[in-house]
Amino acid sequence: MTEVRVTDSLDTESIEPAPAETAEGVAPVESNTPGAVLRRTREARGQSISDVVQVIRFSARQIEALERDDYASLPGSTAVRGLVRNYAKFLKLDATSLLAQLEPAVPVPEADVRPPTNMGEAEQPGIVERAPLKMIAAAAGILLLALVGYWYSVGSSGDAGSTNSLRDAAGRSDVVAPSPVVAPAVGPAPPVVAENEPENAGAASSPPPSGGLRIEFDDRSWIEIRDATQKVVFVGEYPAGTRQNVEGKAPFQVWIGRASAVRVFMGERSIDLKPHTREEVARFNLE
Amino acid sequence: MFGFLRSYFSNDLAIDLGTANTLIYVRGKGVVLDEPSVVAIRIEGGPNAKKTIQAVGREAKTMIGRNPKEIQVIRPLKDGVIADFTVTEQMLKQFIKRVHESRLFSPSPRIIICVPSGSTQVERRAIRESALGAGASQVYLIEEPMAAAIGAGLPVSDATGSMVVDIGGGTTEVGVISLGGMVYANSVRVGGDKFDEAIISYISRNYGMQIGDNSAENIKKQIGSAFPGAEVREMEVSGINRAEGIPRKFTISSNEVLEALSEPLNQVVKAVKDALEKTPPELGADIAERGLVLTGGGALLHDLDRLLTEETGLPVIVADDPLTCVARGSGLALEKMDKLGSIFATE
Repeated sequence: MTEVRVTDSLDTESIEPAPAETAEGVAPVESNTPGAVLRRTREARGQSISDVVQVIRFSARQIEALERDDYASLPGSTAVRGLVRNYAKFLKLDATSLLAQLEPAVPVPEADVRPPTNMGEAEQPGIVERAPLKMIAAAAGILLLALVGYWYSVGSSGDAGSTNSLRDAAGRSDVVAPSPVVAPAVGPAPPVVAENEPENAGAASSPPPSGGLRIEFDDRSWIEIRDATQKVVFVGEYPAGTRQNVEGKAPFQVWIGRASAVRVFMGERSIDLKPHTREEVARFNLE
Repeated sequence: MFGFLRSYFSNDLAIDLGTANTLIYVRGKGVVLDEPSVVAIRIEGGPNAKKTIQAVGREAKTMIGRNPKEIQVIRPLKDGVIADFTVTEQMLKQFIKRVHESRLFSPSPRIIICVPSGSTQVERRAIRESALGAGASQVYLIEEPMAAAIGAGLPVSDATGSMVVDIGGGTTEVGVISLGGMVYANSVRVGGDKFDEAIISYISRNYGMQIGDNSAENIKKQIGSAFPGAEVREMEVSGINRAEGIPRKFTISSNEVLEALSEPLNQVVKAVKDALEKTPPELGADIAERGLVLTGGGALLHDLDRLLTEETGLPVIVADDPLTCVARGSGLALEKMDKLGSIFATE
C-alpha cells in the first residue's frame, strides 16, 4: 500500500543508517525477538529507519529502541503493541505472531483504574456518601443498644404511662411556660398551683400534712409534679431557698430538672433521689 | 445495606449501549454478550393491535430490509443516544435476561452504562431511566472516551496525556485524558452508520442502484478503506436498478468506496484536529510521544490509522480488540467500582 513512497526513499536514505545498525550488532543474527525480526526485515527490504518514521510517525529513537527490544524506554505497553503493529504493517509482516512473542515482556495492557493519588481530602466528604458499611452498621448497633438501655431504665423507674406523661409534659410546657418566668419574679410562692396549696410558703418548718409532699430547693431548679389524676399540681422553676408543700392524691409523678439541688420529703420521710437520677434529671413515682 | 446479599442473586453489569452493537460485561466473567442493537417487533392485527417482541440482536438484524408489514425492525438508538425509549428498555431487558443465569430471582444488577461525552442531560437521563426500567437497581454513567481509554490500557490515572478516538456506530468520541479525568472531550455524530449512508448515496448517485443497509455495511467491512492504497480490491454487489426496477449485480472497487467515505471521514479528521488544537501543550507533547489510540468499530476501517497519521503527523495506533474496548473499559471500572467514584459521569 505504501509502495510508491517506499521505493522513492529507498535510494536516497537507506545507505547511511545501515552501517550504524550493523556496527551496533547487539542482536545476533539468529535472534528471533520481535525487535530483531523487524530490523532484519527492514534491512532486507533495504529501508532506513527514517523511512519508517516518515510513515508511522513514531520517533526514530522509539523505533531504534524497539529494534533493540528495549521496551522499558518506550511509553507503555499500549504504545509498544501499537508500534509493533504499525511497524509490522509497514513491512507487510503478520503482526499477530510478533505480538504473541511480545507478550511475556510487554503484556496486553492491564488497565489501571485507580483514582489519582491525593494528599487527603480538601473537604470532608459527607458521612452518607463515604462512610463504609461497617461503620454504619456499628453506629446502628450502638444506637440500638442505647435505645434498649434507655427503654429498660425508663421502664424500670417509671410506669407504663411515663411515655405519655413525657408527651403531655412536652405539650403542656408550652401552655404553662409563662408561669416559671413569672414565678421567680413574683416571689417564692408559685401562683399556678396556688389553688392546691395552703399559703404556707413562708412557714417552711411547719410539717406538711400526712400524705403531702414537701419540696426544698437548695438551688434553682425546674420541677413538675402530677398527682394520681394526672393533674399538674406543682410546676415551675424556683430559686434557691424555696420551700413548698404540695397537696394532692398519691401516687405522685415527680420530674425534677436538677435533682442535686432539690430535696423531697413525703411526710417526714426524706426521699432519696439518687436512684432515680439520670444526668441530673430525676423522674420517679411516689406512692 | 444489603449489597452483600444482592451480589448472590445478581451480577453487576457494564453495558456499552451502542448505536450499532450492545455489549455486556459481567463482573468476574468479562464480555459475555455482543449483539447488534436491533429489535424486531411483531404488530398483531385486530382492534387492540398488540405488539410483541419477535427477535432481538443478531436474529433481528438479519430481518432488516426483509421484513413483512407486520414486523417492524427497529434500531432504537440513533447517533449514540436513545431514539425510541420503550424499545431500548425492552431490548436491554432481553439482553440482561440473556446474561443472567439465575432464573429464580428476576435480575436487579448494578449497572455501569456508557454515554457519549457530548450527550445532553435529557439524553443521559433517558439512558439512565431505560436501564432502571430494564431492572437495574443502581445505574452509574461513564463517558465513552474514558471507558475506551481504560479498555485500551492507557494510563488514565497518570499525569500524562492520553488521547483516544472512539469511532462507534453513531458517534465519534474524541477524548484527552490525564490524571483520571477528561481534559477535553468532544463527540461528533459521525460513525459507522454515516459511513454506510455515504456508501448508499454514492452508489445511488453513480450507479443508479439502490442497496440496503446490510449490503452497505458489508461493502464497508470488506473493501472499505480510508487511505488510497496500492492494491485495488473489488466486490460484487447486488441492488435494485432504479431506472429498470429490477435487481442487478455490479462491481464496486475500494477506490470508489474511499471516495464515498471521504465526506464522513473528513468530519472525523476535523474532530481529531479540533481536539489537538484545544489540547494543552504539555499533554500534546505526551500524545506526540505515545500516539493517539483508535478504538471502536470504526478503527477497523482499513487504513484509518494511516489517514489520521497523514493528516495529523502523529503516530496513530489501533487498540487491541477495538470493538470491545468500551465494554471492557467500563467492565474494569465496574470491577473497581466500590473503590472509585471520580471517573463516573454525572447526569
